[in-house]
Amino acid sequence: MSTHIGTKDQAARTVRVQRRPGRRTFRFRRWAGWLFALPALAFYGFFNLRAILQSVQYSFYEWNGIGASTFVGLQNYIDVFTQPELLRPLINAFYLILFFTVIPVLFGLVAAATMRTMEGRFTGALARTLLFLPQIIPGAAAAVAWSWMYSNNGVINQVLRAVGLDSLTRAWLGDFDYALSAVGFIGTWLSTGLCTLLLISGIGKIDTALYEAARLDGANAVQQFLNVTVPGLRRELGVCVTVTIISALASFDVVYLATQGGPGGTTMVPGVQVYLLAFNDARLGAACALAVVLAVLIVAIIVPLQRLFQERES
Amino acid sequence: MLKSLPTAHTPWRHTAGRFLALALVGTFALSACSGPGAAPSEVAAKEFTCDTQAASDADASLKLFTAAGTAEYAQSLSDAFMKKYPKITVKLQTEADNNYNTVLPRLLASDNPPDLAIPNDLIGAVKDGLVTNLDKCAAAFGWEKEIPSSVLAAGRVSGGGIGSGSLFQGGGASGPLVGVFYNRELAKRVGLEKIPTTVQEFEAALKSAKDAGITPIVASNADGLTGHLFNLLLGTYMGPQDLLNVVWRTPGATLDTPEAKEAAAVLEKWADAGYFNADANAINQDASYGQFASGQGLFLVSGTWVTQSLPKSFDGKYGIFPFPAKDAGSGQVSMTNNQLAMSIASRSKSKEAAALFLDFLSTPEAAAVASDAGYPSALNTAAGAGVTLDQNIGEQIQAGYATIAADNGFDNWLNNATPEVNTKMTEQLQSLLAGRTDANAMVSALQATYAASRDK
Repeated sequence: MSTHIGTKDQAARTVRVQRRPGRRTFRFRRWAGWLFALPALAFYGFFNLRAILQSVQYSFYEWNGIGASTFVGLQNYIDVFTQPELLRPLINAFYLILFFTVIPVLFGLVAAATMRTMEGRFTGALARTLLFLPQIIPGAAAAVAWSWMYSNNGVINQVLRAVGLDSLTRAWLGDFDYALSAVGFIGTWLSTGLCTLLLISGIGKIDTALYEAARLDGANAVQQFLNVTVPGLRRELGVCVTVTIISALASFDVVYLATQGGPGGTTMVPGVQVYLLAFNDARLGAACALAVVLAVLIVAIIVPLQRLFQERES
Repeated sequence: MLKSLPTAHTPWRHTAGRFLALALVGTFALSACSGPGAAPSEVAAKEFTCDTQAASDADASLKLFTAAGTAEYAQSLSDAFMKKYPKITVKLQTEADNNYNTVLPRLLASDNPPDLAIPNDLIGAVKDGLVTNLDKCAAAFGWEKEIPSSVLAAGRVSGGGIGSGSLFQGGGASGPLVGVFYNRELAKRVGLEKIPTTVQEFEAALKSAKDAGITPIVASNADGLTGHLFNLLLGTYMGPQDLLNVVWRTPGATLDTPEAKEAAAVLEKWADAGYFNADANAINQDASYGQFASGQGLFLVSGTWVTQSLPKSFDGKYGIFPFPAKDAGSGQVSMTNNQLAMSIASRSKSKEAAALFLDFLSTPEAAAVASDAGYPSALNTAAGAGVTLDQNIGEQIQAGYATIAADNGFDNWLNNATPEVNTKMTEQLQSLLAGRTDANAMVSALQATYAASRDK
């Protein structure tokens, strides 16, 4: 709004000074807005764009981060797709989507629908708080806490022993078959709160008349959920899915603190691999190439998803 | 979410697109002609002559970089130095153990580097021009006369290898002994009557512990620290010089030998026999110290620096012996790294004062501090009378160190060969312990990583 007034004012003044509204005025009007955005753009360019472009540049070099570098063309990218130890983290990241996105969103939907019908202000608030609580705990802290629970004498094995399932007990984060799922479940625990809260607020905006109409038409709770709640939450679902998929693909803190990618690379994710390549192995070029591939992948997944959730809107 | 007008999109898109294209083109143009990074130049233009005459009486401040696990030792060294040279202050810069190698090169290349440090990747540090040539100091301080050439060799770098050439790390000569820590009470319970001196005897002890329902070896392997045992086995079967050649990147050195595979096969056999704690792959070093100190296992294979980390309440309840020999006719080996030899950052602003610190490291006072921290002196090792079960741990460390020295058995960790080998070892050892790879495949994988990274 204010820009409109501004430009009108500017235009009026330019007209007064310069009788002929020529090409220059038109140009000035067009660029005036950019002038205001310039300071912010400069910061964005310097701190965001430059860093991104620098990563792209580094990805074409073999460089240890300190000494001289060698231009190697696309070799780092070829490595990412041909060396199993660089490809595997990408596959693991996709597996984590199940735990970071699918389960939390499904659970969040059910929980939100249940809480809509929950009587009493206190119980509702209590349930919301309890579910949201994990969200305010940093991933790093959660990973440390969970690695205690997953340990040989941790809560999870204690519970298993208590119910006579001794044969199932194991050091979960050190197990080749279960470590990735165990790490993924930490992610489930972390993102469920966000999804539930977003979906609850979305449900609040659905016109209650729709539910009444559905009831009058004889729809039961499940039918109401599928035909009123889920369609009404499309936007919120879009946000949930976008945010959690990004956190799954770009995960670092949880994995780094829980397993550092072990045992034997079974829980390695791109974020941790990038860190190890850059700082442990002193292969900055390869690290940047993997990071660029990851970024491109995330964009390639998120953009169609955004379209999907928006198109149905109209 | 705001729905913007479709017309508003067009100019924005165009201009932004133009900006982005311009930036991209610019970057590629840049990248085409100049790559990132270059060796940092030395700060002092004048040549470093190691003339410490003036420095001993001038105000100066030194920064000593240390890992958290050895911070107490570094502090004691600094205190002893400051007592001798009251005008020079030494401040510690501490970093978590597992970040030490990661952070150090970047710090050394920065504008405000630590003056003194012990880089594990000395070859890389020399190649990148991060550390100072100490040949002048060796002459000025008479190191070549005082210190055995085999000890000094570890600080010499030339042509992408260690062992000969100019000196980049110097001082005194004291280092840890890596061996087998044992719980005295549990040793009694499993009937250990004498120190095992051959791998066969050691294996018998492992078996009797297992049979008695006691975990034979407590190890942490989430951080790959079964590597200490693997390195001991490598040195024992390959012979210390062959392992050193690999670590020091001597031309022609290889890990692809029957002896290295034999060493890995022993580790595999012990893993398969269940001689390690079941959660080894899930725990880190601190957890393993906790398990060992609370009597949950008979042995812990590590270096004498852990005496600084094990709980004080456990003092007197554990001992150490050097790793047993391959057979009765062979020598005993241990990895060590000189904890009294340091490097001076090439960008240090107080090189003369730092050189004074190196000179101090070769004094008996410094050796005494090192000895207290579990790093016996390599200079005057008493003839090894052997380690016995009833000695206290201090005596055992001295005697154990003397035993290895007498056998000429000191080598270094394969982990220090190249940074990539270090990362790869953790992954491979975890796989071996879980039975997901075998000895031959592990050695081949390590050799492949070594070959690919040694000449970079």
